[in-house]
Amino acid sequence: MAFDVGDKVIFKVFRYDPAKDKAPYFKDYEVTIERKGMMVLDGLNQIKWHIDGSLSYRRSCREGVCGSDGMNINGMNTTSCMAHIEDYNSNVLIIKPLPGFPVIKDLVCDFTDFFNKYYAVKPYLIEKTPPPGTERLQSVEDRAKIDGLYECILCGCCSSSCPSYWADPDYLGPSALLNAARFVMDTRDEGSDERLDAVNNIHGVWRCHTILNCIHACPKELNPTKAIASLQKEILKRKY
Amino acid sequence: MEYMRGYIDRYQGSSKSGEFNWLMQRVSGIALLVLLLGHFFIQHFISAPVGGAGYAAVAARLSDLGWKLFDMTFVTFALYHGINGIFMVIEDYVYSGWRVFWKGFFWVVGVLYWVLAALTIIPFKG
Repeated sequence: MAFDVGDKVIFKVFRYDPAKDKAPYFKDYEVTIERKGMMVLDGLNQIKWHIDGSLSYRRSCREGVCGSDGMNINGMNTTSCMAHIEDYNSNVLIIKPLPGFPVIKDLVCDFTDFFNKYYAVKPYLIEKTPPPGTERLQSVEDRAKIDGLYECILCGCCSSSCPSYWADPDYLGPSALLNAARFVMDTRDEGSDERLDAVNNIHGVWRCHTILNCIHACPKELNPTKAIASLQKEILKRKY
Repeated sequence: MEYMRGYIDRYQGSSKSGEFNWLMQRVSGIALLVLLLGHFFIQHFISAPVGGAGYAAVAARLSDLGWKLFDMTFVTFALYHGINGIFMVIEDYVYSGWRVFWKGFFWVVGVLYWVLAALTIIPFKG
């Protein structure tokens, strides 16, 4: 659906302030298309700056790098700064916080548990041999092995879209597991054994039932399911 | 029941990490596919062509030691695959002490069905 400058779009936004509201509710805002290719985040900014300053949401870089503004727009998780309003082919956008995460206020979710799971997979280079003089060089082929893994911006869209993640509060989730794969597949890293130990768990890689929601949700077009499968393969290869 | 989680996970025996069950679910799945298609083709195209499977033919087949082995393998994999699938659902959704109960319950159900199958297949003489 193509919008012209001046057209109106209704944003139905999830509102909840635990200090004031007994229950969450949706509030309608009329957003004016100001320019072609306007993003959902631009619409939210328009609401925040000109219509209702009480609306809370996270944003920072507004270009899909910081991963702050993960939210659920018309049923799909994405980062609002990477979502064109006109791509939804609708005059009404229903905007909710990420499903399965505790809501702090409006569209702001509590990411404590999400980041604890991220830290659980040791998402940093573990080295056992001293660095060779300057830096650890990598061949072009070895570097290509972490393509599709290193780009994760930790927006939480994948984990929040995963029914296994909703069902099992301890499941590490697609995001943490993709980041585990990012280091396991990195030829410079020497901590694969301890990292694989951390994910070879009843709440780790085996909880993935290839539902594939994470792939649809990821605004960076990464493939967490494939990353989890590569971890499963690596664990089985080392054991059998 | 939050405090029980570690306890429950520690006492899962061989399914502690879930890797063996995960692998065997795939192995049994492939085995079932081979056994089922094998059974189908031998039944309907090789040993007894369509329309020719009367009681006598079936009884003769069921009395055969090879077929008894085939059927026991089939039923073992089928029960393993089915019950193991239920275990995975339980691991997904049940975190309290009920997990131990439900897993135990389906262990018993699986073993009982296996015994029932063995009693039906092994002593059959026609």
